[in-house]
Amino acid sequence: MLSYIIRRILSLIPVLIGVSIIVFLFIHMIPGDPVLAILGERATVENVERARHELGLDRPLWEQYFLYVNKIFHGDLGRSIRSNTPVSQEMATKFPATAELSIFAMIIALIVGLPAGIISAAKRNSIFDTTVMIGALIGVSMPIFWLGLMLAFLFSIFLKWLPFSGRLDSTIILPIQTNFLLLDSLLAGNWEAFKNSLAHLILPSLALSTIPMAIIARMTRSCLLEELGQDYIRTARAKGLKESSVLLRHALKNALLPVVTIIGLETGALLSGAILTETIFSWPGIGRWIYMAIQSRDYPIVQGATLLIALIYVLVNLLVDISYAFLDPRIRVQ
Amino acid sequence: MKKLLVSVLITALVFSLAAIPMTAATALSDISGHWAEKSINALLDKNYVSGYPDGTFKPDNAVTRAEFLKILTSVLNIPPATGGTSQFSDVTPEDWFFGYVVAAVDKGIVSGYPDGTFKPNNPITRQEAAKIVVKAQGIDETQAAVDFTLSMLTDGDQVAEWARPFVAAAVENEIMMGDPTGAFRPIAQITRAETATIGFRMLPVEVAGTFIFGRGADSVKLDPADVTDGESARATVQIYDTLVMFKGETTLIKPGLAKSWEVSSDNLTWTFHLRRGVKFHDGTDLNADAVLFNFERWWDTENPYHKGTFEYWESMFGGFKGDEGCVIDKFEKVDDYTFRIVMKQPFAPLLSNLAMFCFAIASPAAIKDQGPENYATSTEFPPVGTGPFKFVEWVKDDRIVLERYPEYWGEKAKIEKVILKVIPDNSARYLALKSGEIMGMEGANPDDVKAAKNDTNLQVILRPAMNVGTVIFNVTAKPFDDVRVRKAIAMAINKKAIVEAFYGETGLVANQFLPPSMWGYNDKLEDYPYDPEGAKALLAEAGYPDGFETDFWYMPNPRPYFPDPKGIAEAIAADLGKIGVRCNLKTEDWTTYLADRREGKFNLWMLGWTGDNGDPDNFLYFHYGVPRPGEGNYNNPELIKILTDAQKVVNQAERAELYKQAAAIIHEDCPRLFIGHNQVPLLFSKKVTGYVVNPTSTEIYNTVVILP
Repeated sequence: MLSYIIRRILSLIPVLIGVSIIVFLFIHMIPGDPVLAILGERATVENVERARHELGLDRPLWEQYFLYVNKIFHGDLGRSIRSNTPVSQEMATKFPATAELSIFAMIIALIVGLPAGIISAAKRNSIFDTTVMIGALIGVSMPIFWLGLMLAFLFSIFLKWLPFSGRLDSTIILPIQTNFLLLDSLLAGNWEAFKNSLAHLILPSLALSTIPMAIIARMTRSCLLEELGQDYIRTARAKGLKESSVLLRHALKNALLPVVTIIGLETGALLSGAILTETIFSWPGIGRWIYMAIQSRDYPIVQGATLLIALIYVLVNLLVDISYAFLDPRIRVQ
Repeated sequence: MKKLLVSVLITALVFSLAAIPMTAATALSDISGHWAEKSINALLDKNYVSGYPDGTFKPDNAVTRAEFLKILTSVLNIPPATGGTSQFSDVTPEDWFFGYVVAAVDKGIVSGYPDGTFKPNNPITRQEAAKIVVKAQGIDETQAAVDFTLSMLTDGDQVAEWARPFVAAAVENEIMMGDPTGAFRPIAQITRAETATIGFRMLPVEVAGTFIFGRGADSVKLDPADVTDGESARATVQIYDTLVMFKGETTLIKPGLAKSWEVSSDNLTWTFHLRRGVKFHDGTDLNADAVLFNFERWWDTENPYHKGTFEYWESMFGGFKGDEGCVIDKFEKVDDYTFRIVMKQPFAPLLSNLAMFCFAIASPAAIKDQGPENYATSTEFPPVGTGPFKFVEWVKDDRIVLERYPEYWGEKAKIEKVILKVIPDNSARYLALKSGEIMGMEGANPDDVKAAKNDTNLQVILRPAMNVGTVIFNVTAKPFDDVRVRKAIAMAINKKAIVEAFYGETGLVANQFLPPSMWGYNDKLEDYPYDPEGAKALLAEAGYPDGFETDFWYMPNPRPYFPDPKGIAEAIAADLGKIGVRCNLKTEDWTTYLADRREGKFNLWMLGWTGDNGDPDNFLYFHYGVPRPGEGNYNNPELIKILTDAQKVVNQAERAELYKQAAAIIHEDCPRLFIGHNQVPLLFSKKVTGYVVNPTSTEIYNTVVILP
């Protein structure tokens, strides 16, 4: 098992190199460059050439790539062209913001989606089932932009229960250590900050959770239904087991395998940032960061962030594969 | 009869101003809409002045010396003396003003006449008032740049010799400012309204509140010299000062860190006299060395602290040190508080350039300590200037926090803190304003602006336009190389309808580069009429009776000058369709668009301009001073000569004439169409007052007051 994990981790290296080359080529192939993005209407021939030279953008592409890779091997992701801040430093603030939001959204999605799927499958074609499935359909197809604004309007403007922009009230002072604000406020023993950042998390994570929640509910239901049609279920029922036991101990365990895969993929997607949710709720996360960097052709950020996302996906897949081994003993034997 | 009336009036005046403190709550009939309404109301609220029993304030009546003192001492919280003796023969304990005069003499505010009188019931002239307020505020009048400041007033030469330093000091400290025409009227009698205004400006500042402003994007960097984005500028203008500054809501120039300046007779050498006693937020001194350090850093690419691209320097001064196009020869420190710029050629836009946010003076110590790569990039590497607010914290993509700098040399801030909060989505930002999470915002959707106008808790302020949205022709490509084709297109577009539909109430129809609020605007220019039939005829004359087909490029994203490029492009295409010009609408990613435009890949496209410094040069020379593919290859030697000449004339009126000529030439050649100017709406909570909008967007929050 351990050697399997090590092998999988080692296989990361070629993946990341491949990703870095592809991203590097693609971002440089798009017409326009950071200088133009900075200058906008002011871009004239002379000032563009000079600024390109200052930034080293007039060198051959392969040279720029090797300079970049060389830096990475020295643990340096470069500096943002626009703001001059180290990419790693910006990443260290954006990623925890996204991770906190994603984890929270995934927990909500699981808490609601899994039981909803299970009950729907158990009570197939009941009113509950129909309601859940319609709800799930709405969940995947509702524009998150609209939902986000409606949530903000209802809970922040109308009811005035929850804040909807940012991660923490501007008036609260919190020493930052991990950039996971919930964690930071616990570390600082600042109960006020904890409550406040938790309140800021609710609306965006609710908005973000709708799609994974809907997918998880539908997936759980259909996988469970498939399992419930299997012979061993009939056997179990024939043995006179309680229906709950048949459902939860026998069918669910087998049905979970594809659900876990979906959860893994969705987590990967959440962790690579949600541009729309981050935009509406002014959440300083990784999605908008990349989006803005692409807009302004801030190459070092785009490259660094893409590497991070590739890493996340590979690691999440690895975790999913490992979890299979726990869920399905047959995989462990192989 | 007349005598009686006068004496009744005087009695009433004395009575109301001094004797009975009347309740201010009763609204007075003659101050609503008066220019001094705000000041009068503020003083009425505090019972420092009061109205007449007949429910009027008579704002334009004169006040006497005694009355002036009474108001002044109330404003400054100086209690009237209850005993003591008067040194003046005409001030006795029986007089109502006795206590005020004695207290004022005690504080050294007034001294009376050499003959031992005070003439309490004489009217007071504005220059006398200036002396009294300068003394009352404890301002050292010997520090005033007397000649310079008086030369900026249209009637500075009428000020009496003894009053010159006091008038200059009062003007420099913005306690008395003269009327909108720039006249001080030193020997005019001061009115009740003017006295109230002075009193209002002298009111002890109650510092309170946090001003939270919502914006669409974060600042890139807080080193103004090396950024070009408006969001960086929004923060840096609070933290730093420039040598000269924009005055109020205009693009006129007023002294900044330089309290005065003069230019040599050949218009080449500019000498700036720096304000003394100004300190950076890190405690170091602002002096000629610091200023020199900044200029050397900006313009010398070999300077060890020149790390970055410094785009604005290059674009505003024609290049860096040693470049052929650079208009500057050298910088010099003359003495500790005198700094000199020597130009290669007369360069009139210099002052306008120096007022731009990007040429702000940063602390040399901070740049050296932090290192030029890191300077002003994060909380760890804070920006250090001399401005009214000090940097506190920067949480990237979330907020920048600033606090009041109590030692600011100019008008000190009236709020404790400023928070610039990033809320990327326009609708979400508007919701945040409505919910009270923020108090002001820019970048509202047009529907939200309308809603805000009808919201009792919100107010909308329009920033004067300093931009223009245009459609550009490649004048070397067929069919646009024929001026008749260009004019036909100009006549085919219904600009008025477009501006009404897409800009709404904030838009103005454009017929030239400059917006009407700028000097140099040609108000005689008559636009091409909207005339599709005439356009068709002109097109036929040019050899295109059936029109033609063309690509028409529009920008992928809105800019201030084109709020909805796609919609506007569609409307233009529809108009052109009516005269047989069939447009294939095309767009692409913004940066790609800019690249293709620059390389001359478009023949017909949309793009506009947002001015930097309020100087016409920045609109006209920038686009047509040098022919470029990115400007449609338009090349008119006569125009280029006018634009180059206009840079060399220092006299603003002469320059304005040249720019008017330039506008007429451009209009005749029609190398681009001017569609609209847009006034950017800013939305505020009603609790915010004192926000001064400026066409250059250089808006400093030291005047902002948050009402409880």
